[in-house]
Amino acid sequence: MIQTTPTYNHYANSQLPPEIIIQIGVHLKGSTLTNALRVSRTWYTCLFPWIWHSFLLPNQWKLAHLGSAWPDISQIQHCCHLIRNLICDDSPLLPNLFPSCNRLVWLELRDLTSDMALLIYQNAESLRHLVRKASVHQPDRDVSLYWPFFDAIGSLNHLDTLQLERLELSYSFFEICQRISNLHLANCSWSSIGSAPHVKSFQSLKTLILLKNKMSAMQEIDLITRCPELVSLHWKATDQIPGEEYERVEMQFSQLSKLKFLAINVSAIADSDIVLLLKSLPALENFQASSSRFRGYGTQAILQYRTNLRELDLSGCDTTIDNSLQQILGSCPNLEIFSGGVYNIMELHHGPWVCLQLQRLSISLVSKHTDPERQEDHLRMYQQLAALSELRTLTLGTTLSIAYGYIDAMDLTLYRGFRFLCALKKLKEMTIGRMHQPLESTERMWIETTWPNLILLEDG
Amino acid sequence: MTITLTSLDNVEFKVDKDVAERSILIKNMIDDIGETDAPIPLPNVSSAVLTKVIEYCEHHRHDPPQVQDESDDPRKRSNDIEEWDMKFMQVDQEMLFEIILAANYLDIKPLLDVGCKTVANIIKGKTPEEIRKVFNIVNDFTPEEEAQIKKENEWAEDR
Repeated sequence: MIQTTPTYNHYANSQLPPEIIIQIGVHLKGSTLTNALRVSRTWYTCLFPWIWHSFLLPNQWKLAHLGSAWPDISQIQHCCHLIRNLICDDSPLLPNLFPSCNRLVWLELRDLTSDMALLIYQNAESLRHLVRKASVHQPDRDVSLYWPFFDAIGSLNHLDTLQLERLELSYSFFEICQRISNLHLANCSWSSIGSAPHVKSFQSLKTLILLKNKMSAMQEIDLITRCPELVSLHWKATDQIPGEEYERVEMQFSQLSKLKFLAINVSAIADSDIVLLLKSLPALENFQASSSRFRGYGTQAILQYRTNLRELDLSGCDTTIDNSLQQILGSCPNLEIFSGGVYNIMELHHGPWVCLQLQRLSISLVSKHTDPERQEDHLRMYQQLAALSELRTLTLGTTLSIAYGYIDAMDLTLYRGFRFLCALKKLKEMTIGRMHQPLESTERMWIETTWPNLILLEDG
Repeated sequence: MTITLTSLDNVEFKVDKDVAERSILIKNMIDDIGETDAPIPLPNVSSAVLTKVIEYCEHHRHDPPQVQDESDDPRKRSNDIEEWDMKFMQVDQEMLFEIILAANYLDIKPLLDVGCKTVANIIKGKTPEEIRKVFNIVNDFTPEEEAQIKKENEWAEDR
């Protein structure tokens, strides 16, 4: 170890002071960082901690195969107090982190060994973010072996975010949930919360992510509705909500008065369940239901209850045969982001859009028409689009599948109406997907002159 | 409401309150003394630098407040600078340093970040000697010490 006195007597005129050099270190990595270390004593003192700031503790396999690419044991023992972010497999090097590695902020681990529990205890005052990822070949272990792990998590006083994968959760787990803001559970299971002692609600949880847990919809709803301060919910359920519970669920969800973001991109939830969610959540502003079973009932629920939505994602949903594009864009004046599915261009004959705040739009349009109706369809479509003067990002026709009997209706030729888009003064990015025909050079040149800084992406 | 700021060289700048309050230092001052017509002295910032800083604050006046989250996934960190900021930072090195120091003093975190990223991008891919040359820094290591630092930290070169 190079010994440098931590006085900054090399700081002269027109030089950056040490506190700024430290700040610059955040943005340096790899050889750029190791080179910068050797610039001067001041730079070394300021930047050396960043070498250790984020550290991956190699497992047995990596150690054996990546040879000299790791610091030696004495270096780890000497410097591990500098680690703030640690990724840690079950590693033969783990014992070297005792007792000095005690200021971790972020810890990602896989195996739940007793050493790992010890490491968590050792960082009880600093850890804010804990991630447990499951390794692919993890054998099922006796659940009771995980209990020390949950006890250790329970000791974390400043934990903010807890992310767990493939675990059976114990009662003590729900105690930590009363203190954290973000909870992310994937492929987990747990026994009824109602039977956990001292747990009634989770007042501090703001973000909840539930992905494919091995639980029934009602058990997950029991967890969700115990979080009265919830702002954001991402729920990939594996089960439908039973029809006979609708009334109770509606009442419970209506208590979630702060929930603004809901994502349910999964096909397990029925269209009628989506209606229930839209109806019950009073503060909902952002609804993401890509590749879900969102259909005509969902559209009706938006029109009836949630015309104040600001963001809506229905990409990948089958929408060709309903009138939902015109209905949604014609009824939701606050929409800023809309990602739709595939729509029949005929819909555009049914009146104007009111979503004049729209900043991002992504849709595909198909048609059964041939000329001359086709030409009229296009003029109408481009006139509608040209009214969206706030548009920053426009994506047209990226869908891969088109229903039988339809053809892709996008025609990007100037005389078909494409020229109307010059009204979109704020446009920054345009993506053009699978097209009836590729973009011609005339149109290409026109795009370049109309928006000199436009990012143009072509797909397929 | 407008706020008057006075630079090191006694030039007065009138700016809207929401623009001035991009600076946490100024915001705290205004919160402390209440609304007043008296100019706020900024004895550490020259008028040339303050002009630039105000230009930045006006462009970013409607930005949402930055959420500081040190626990973010460290692997997702990026050195990307948005286009306008990149152009804004195309100044000579002395001015770049002055802007960074002013952003630090005035506590304008996003501007400090952009400044530091700009310096980081200058450093990127350069040898220690090239970095010294660019920033006019004297090498105070012996060749042996420099070699030792290289050896000890070799493991960190590829990440």
